[in-house]
Amino acid sequence: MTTQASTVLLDPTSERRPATRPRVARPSSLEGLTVGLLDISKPRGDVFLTALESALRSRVPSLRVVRYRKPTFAKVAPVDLRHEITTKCDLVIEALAD
Amino acid sequence: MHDIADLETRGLPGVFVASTEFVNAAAVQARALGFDPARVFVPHPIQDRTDDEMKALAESSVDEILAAVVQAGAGRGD
Repeated sequence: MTTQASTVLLDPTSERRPATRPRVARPSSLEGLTVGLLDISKPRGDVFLTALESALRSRVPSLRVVRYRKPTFAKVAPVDLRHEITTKCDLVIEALAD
Repeated sequence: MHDIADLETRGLPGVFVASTEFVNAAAVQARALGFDPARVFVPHPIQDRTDDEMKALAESSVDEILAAVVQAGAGRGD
């Protein structure tokens, strides 16, 4: 008679479901706010963001727009860039992944 | 997407814009991150579009982008 040994693997990093978090509350109005337009540096993204900036300004004339650009689309934006956006803007639009 | 996720943890509402090629990847990434960022998709491809086509994409998506960063039912303030 043979018995099969079994092994139980305990993975402390495993989770059945990742913790989720909600989106940050949105403003009730964009009037007078500052939006950061973050270019991820893929081709043509700057053209899109320039057109988007124009469209935003036409819809919300009091909206201030600040342009930013990541060094590369292949990495998360540098921490100092993220900090600058956070301190100077009220919201952010990032584009354009393709 | 990771940028938006990080900026939202810093208290900044955000939305990212991507081509339709990213629809599935964005959904997978959202589940992995445990965070579902606001996102707007525009028709793929992007890189061989003319300037006028890019302008048209921006114009056609701006209202959806605005809706993603303003409270539902709220006005834009204009």
